[in-house]
Amino acid sequence: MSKKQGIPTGTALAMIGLILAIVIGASAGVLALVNGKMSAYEKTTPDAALQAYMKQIEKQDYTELYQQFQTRTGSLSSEADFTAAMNTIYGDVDFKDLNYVKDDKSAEGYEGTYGVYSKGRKVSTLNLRKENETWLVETVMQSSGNLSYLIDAPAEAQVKVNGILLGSDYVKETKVPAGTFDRYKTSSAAPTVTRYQISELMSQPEITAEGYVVVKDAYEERFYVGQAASGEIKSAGEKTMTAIAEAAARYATGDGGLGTLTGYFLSGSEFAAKIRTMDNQWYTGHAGVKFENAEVLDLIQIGEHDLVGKVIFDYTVLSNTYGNRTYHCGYQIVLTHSSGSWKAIDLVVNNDLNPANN
Amino acid sequence: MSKKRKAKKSGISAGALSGIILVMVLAGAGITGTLALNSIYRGPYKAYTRHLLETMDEGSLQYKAAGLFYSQAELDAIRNPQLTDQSEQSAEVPSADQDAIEIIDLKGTTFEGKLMIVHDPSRVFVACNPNMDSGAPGYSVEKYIQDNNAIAGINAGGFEDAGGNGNGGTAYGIVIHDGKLISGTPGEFTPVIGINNANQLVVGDMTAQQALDYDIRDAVTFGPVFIKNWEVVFETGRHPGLNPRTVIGQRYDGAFLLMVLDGRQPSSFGSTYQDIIDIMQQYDAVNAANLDGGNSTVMVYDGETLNTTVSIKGDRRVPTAFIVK
Repeated sequence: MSKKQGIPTGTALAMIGLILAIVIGASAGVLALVNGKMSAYEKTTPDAALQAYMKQIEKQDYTELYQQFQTRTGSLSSEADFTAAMNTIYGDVDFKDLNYVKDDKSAEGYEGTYGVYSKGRKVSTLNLRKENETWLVETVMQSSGNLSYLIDAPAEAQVKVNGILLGSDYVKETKVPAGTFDRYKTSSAAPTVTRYQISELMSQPEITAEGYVVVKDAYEERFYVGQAASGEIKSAGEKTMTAIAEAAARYATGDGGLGTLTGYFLSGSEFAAKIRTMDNQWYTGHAGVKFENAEVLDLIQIGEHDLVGKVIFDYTVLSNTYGNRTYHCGYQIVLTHSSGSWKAIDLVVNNDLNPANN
Repeated sequence: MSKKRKAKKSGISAGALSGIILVMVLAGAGITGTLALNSIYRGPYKAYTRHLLETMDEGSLQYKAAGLFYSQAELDAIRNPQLTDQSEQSAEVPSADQDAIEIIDLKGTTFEGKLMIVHDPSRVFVACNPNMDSGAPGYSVEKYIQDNNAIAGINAGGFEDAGGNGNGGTAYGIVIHDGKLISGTPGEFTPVIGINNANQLVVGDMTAQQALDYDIRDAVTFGPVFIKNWEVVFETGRHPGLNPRTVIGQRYDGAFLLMVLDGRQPSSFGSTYQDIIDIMQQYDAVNAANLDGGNSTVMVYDGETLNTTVSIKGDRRVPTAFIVK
């Protein structure tokens, strides 16, 4: 009787198991080696930083990016402006399969600007630099903004623009006459201020100064920092400004005298000189006028003896023949305390101040 | 009888075991290779993959392996990207639509107003009273616009207006319309504000005949001329003060600047000649001249009066208007 002897089943299975384990182990080792090599390569490139940056943009997570932008550029634009600018650039970008191509391929190293391409189309430019062994990425913006403003403030005021404290770099002039006196000949009577100049803003900023009120000029791109008028000064200022507004409106329609109006002004006032040249005899004859809804806004003290504020009102010319006409008016008036009373040195027309026109 | 006992196999033969092991190893190698290639060509390490695809030689084993994961078109796109720089395209500032009319709000310390920029100068004409100098009244600017199938207009030249009661029937100075002298005499020497057949604004003192000889197709008389060939030619020292104003100017690119500044009202006291010059220079006027202002000042666009006329009756009848067809 012949008997073929094979490898016992148990032994065979054990061998198969062992080989299988070796094969799996070897496979895992090879894959780990391959991935390790690729991972090591990736760490030498900035792609991870670029991709992480674009991920933040895709999620519209702009707070950290704004802080980075503000720190590097010193921009005074607000986070909202920065977000709006970023949304303008990236609003309709497809974030899948972005490519990053260095603009200057001949330059050595990875630092520099990179074009970000989506489906072959350049959507933005990124600036890449290394700082303390970390890659820093930033979107290159065509313009950080083109709006400029002046700020007239007391020397001791700590002025902030969009929450950012202005340093001496932004001081244009010190101890100069406040801009409210620009259209008054005798500037020596003007309160003195520190004048700041800010620029490259994307939108009108929020200006603050602790302990003070900030108002915007009705004609120029300028802000005034002062104390909120209060008490007797406030009430006298409001009463005088309202009276001036009514006198000006009445003179224009022939319902009031020139002397009444110019009597409120100091000589040397450009407005007073100009209004004398306005001929009011041609205004259409009418039955009467109504001066209503007068309100004084944004009344602040600049210096001890000077006020600037805005007065809005409605002025209706009554005519049964031609129908009534109502003017929704707004003026900015500057007052100075002179010889015991409040006198005007300037009046500027801006009817946008009156919400009835909006 | 002999019975052959069947050989009894016990366990697995070495050959079978060898085969099993070989299959396992080959399968393992194949799976590992596939996973590795997939990781290299389509894995998460995009920088590495891109670098590999961009730098591999065509015909190399790597290139052939890449063909398992990418179509030829995809490979070509990666290795030779057709990239367009949209930022270069968007850097081209698009020129304004030649048919466009822009309306801009103007503000000064003592006035408000409107500026109309007409980009196509060939659209601007003088419309005039068809019964000029007959005593029949002139029309409102709105009617001149309607009668000429135009879209916009401002009042233009002056007229006889004793006591402010003129009816716009008799023009002051000369009027040229469509190349013909409609009012005034050929030898009459006046400040002329006209448009020639090249659609250029021509301003200056001349006779009506000279204006016709200069190929002027439409013109009125008024003034002063403020800006001529870029230069301010008017001394504003003895200006007549705050008034409503109507002004015409032309920019370097041919666009007409039609402007009205309100006055004699609580909402807008008026403007000076210096205010006009400042605005015209701000908008790059090559030539600019004053038209009839005061209670005649009016700007109409698309059936709507854009400014606030001095009179509560509305705008006046005038002999001429600059209209935009």
